[in-house]
Amino acid sequence: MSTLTLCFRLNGAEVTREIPTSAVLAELLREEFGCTGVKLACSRAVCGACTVLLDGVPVAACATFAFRAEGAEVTTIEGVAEEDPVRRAFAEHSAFQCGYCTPGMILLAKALLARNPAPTREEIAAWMSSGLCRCTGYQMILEAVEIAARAGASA
Amino acid sequence: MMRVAGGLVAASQYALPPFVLHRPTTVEEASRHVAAGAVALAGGTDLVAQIREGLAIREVADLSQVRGLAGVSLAGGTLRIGAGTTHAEGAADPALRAALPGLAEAWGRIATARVRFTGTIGGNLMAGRPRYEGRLLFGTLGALLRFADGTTLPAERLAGEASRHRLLTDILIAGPERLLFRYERALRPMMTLALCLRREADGRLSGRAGIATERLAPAFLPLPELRAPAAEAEAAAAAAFAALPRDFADPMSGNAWLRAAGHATLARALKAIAA
Amino acid sequence: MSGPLRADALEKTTGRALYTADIRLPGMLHAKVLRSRVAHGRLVRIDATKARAMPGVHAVLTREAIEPGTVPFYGYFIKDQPIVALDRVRYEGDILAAVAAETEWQAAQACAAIEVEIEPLPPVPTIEAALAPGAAELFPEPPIGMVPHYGEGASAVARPEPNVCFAFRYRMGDAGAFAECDHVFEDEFRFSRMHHLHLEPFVSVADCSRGRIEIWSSCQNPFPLRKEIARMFRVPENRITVHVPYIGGGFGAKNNCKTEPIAVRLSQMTGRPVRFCLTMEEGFLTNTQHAAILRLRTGVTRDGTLVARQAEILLDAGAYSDASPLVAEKAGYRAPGPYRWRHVDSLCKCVMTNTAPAGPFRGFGGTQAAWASESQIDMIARRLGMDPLEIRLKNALSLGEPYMPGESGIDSDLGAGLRLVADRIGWRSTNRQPNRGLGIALGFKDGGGVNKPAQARVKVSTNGDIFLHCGTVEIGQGARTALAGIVARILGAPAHRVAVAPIDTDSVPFDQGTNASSGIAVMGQAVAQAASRVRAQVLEFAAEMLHASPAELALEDWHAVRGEERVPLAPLVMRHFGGTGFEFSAEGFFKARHDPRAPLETPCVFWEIGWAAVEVEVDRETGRVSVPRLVVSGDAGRALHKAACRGQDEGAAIMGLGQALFERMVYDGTTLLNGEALEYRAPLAEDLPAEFVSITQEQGHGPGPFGAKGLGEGAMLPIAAAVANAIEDAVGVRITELPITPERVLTALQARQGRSP
Repeated sequence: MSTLTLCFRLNGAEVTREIPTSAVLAELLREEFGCTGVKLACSRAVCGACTVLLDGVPVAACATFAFRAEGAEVTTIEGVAEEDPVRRAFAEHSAFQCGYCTPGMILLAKALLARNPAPTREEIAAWMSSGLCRCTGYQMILEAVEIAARAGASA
Repeated sequence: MMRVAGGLVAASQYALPPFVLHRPTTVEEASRHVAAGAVALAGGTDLVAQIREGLAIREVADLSQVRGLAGVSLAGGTLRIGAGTTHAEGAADPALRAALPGLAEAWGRIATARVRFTGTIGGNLMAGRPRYEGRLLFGTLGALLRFADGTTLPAERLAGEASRHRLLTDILIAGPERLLFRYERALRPMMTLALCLRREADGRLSGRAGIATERLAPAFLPLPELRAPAAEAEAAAAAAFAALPRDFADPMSGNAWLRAAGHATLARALKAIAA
Repeated sequence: MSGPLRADALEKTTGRALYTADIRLPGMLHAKVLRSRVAHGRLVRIDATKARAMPGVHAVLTREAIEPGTVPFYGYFIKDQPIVALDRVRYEGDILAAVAAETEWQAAQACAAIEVEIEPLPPVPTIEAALAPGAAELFPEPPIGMVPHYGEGASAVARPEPNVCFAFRYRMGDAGAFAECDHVFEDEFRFSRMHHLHLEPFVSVADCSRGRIEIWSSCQNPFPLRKEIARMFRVPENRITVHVPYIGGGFGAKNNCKTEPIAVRLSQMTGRPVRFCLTMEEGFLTNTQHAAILRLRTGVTRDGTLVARQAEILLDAGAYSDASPLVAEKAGYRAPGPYRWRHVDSLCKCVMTNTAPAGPFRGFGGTQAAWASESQIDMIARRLGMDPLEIRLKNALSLGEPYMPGESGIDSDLGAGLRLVADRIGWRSTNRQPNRGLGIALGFKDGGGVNKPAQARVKVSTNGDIFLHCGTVEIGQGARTALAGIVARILGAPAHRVAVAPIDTDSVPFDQGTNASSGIAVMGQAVAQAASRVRAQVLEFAAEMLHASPAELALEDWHAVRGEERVPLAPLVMRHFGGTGFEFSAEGFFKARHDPRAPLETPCVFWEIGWAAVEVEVDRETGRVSVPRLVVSGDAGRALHKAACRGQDEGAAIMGLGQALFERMVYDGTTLLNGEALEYRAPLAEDLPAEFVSITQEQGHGPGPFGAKGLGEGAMLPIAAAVANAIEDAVGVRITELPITPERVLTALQARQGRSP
């Protein structure tokens, strides 16, 4: 088969699409569902700009075949509530500049806090090293994750 | 899609050629597809990159529904790691942490948070990229790779191309309780070094070191037999690195430096492992 | 809350912010290009017959498809880069042809079907090879170009010798000063090449389907881009519109033509909108920093007084000139550093090689100059037995002292900043640990661009909603927040009442570009003037309506305030102008005054300073350098948004730390080895020093609104030299080549111990 029918939950809603087997998740989310918050930069699973959560697990949407989302819950930045403590911490602490890495960084941080609600600074730095930010020098991002953790982001 | 220079010029951010997808549920079925030329897709964190680099594929065998590929077990004095075990599962596995804590610790540090949850050790090994660390870790450990067709291959001898049409099922490490393992990656990406010592019945220690760079497949260096690794560390490291090929160098790291820094790192690792 | 919210905070943290990469138009086609694998060669034959017949293909752009009468070259001072290869290819990755197709995949497939025959010419991989006698020439015929009219002491020549496209020279004082020196030190430094690694790729969408040229581009300077497109395609500028949405990082790379000419030409050929989006790998082959060789000859007296400096700087310009002549101006002009000299003779040449074109990069020649100068100042101090901090304090220009004759005065207290970072790192501490050392450095550049005009417009609606129209792009630096804040403060309005209008070149007043840290010190002044003029209009109007004098009135949240009385303005506006209302509107303009005595056309608008102090630890057995502590500081004059200022300094410092320790494009001859994200090592969160302190000074001497000045580049400038200086302090070896890899450190340590590596 070179096409297939894909059903999954996108930001809480059931969706179905006929897709080519070779469709990449980022392409599907951006072009079919308008989730342009899924940013493409390196296109080889290194930089993290395209990070989305697949059943809560952070994955590089640029390097994940779309068919792998079958039956899964996919969370993109569009599915993060405005009141989400991680999103708020990034916004209020100015832990962003150009904003291109920001959706991926927020989702990456959410995945960390879901597993480790009170991480140390070293644990945050190690985890967030999965995302490349060329603008900030990272320190304000790490601080935002700490602020979010204190605000109870894992809840 | 094309290669320009040593680097890559993938023409598109995501446009990939269509392929036929197989979704086997058993090892036998998956193995048949791979033998027939389908590319095995395990965690799926590397194949898109390979395709963007120019890998031509017509068929893909998705291993995500194949039963029995994942998991770690210890039986008959042999540690068995399923090829479909993700990095996160492997690093956290209680049996592995008890049997070979040095490997669990090293395994937990490779790749990124994104890759650790979905990337598998089988995919890491079979991707055939020098910078993927599985081959250094398991090659240094003297692990044996077992394929679905019943053949085996020492991990240190793995070469991506030759094994492409075989389905890796598990990785076997004999006598893990007698192994001491340590992995040094502070000098990454210029150099990484793994050390494995085996405690023999009479208390002597034998073993080897593995050294790799981002661009060079690992070199495995035998160590002389040791009784007191801390005291003998300098001499053992010197002996090991005497065997490093003179052409083991890449454009970012010269042979003399790899030799000197590798020696120092190995001597320290020997002292640390003895402690 | 850590201070007020940035204006772009909600959009950028919800994924709603729109970038050029997100633009889609109905009927849009996708462009892809065929790139040369040959570094240097004559293009004998190119045949796209098969490609044109492939599925989904709408047009193929080769040299034959260039419209007669148009000018298919672009560049800054020198127009030498063709839209597609004409007679030659000049680097691995040079564009041979472009295809527009229904999908990127189809375009890529068609590119692969284009037949090309190239006759190889001898490759010229490095500066040394390019300058060697008898070297092959990249441009045997000089391309069209210009040399600016410089002021006192400055001069330039186009193509002074083969493979040198431009040479800039600055001379001041009498060379006889060297004869009066007690010591003359000569040292050579090497600077490696980084890639900007902006995350949003080079991307544009062009639509020529309606008799105009409309472009959406991830571009730092929309107006010069419009001018360049007009010149190339012979289209009046009022028939071209450039839109710039949010930009996902640039760091200098996104100035002038990159993807736009190909998108425009393919759209002309197809009558459809065309999107041309490069991959990150292609980005590495599109624009880079300048590698450099820098030779400094510096004369001093025995008490450590700097007297005379001669500099020769060779920049690796790559295959096309791009902004190289402009970078040469700045590298040459900045080579002396912010110190008092009696004589300066600085020469900077742009050397053409068969490698990716080099262009603007954060620091813009200042990074190269600071690496050499701040290393050598330290070396001189140590040779004279002086404290590296003291030699800087002794020779640094004072506040208000002109940098060079005809220049503006330095507008930061350099010594105060030096003492600040020195104290923070514990410079005087006697508690020294083995293999640890401290280093200090002073980065500097002339900020605000050369002779740079900026215009802005401020409008206020009947209800007091404020519009700001200006061409400064939001590339992450926080320009929208800071400029809107200036308007709000002048109009007495809460910040949220000001909206910055989307940028398109038809409706936004002219601006030369978002570069040279000019957003606050140049555009900020235009914006402040526009806002002040609107304020005056409103107060005059209110005064007339209230039978008062404007001087009696204040403006507060769209109320006219006279003593205790607060009169809402909206009803007054409707009473006077009718129920449909009115807009108050005014424009502002700023440009530094032209002055023939100023070396670079105008006196510098402001001086951008970066101070750094660093502690390193060196592993003597492996050569590994770790940075446990880094203190960096910039001077915002007055910070318009503290968190944005901090973020700029910290981002610049970490980019500098990457440059210092590991980040570089590695070439094997003319072949780039690590041109992709997996192998190009850039700093990550785990690379941060355990203690990383940034201090935003507000010395208050800036020319911008409220005493503000620009920042964002300054903090990158001192880092590499500070690290090298700290390494010498720690283990007594001097590294003069970037990056400071473990291999280089170990080799130096071994050489010092007298054994071969």
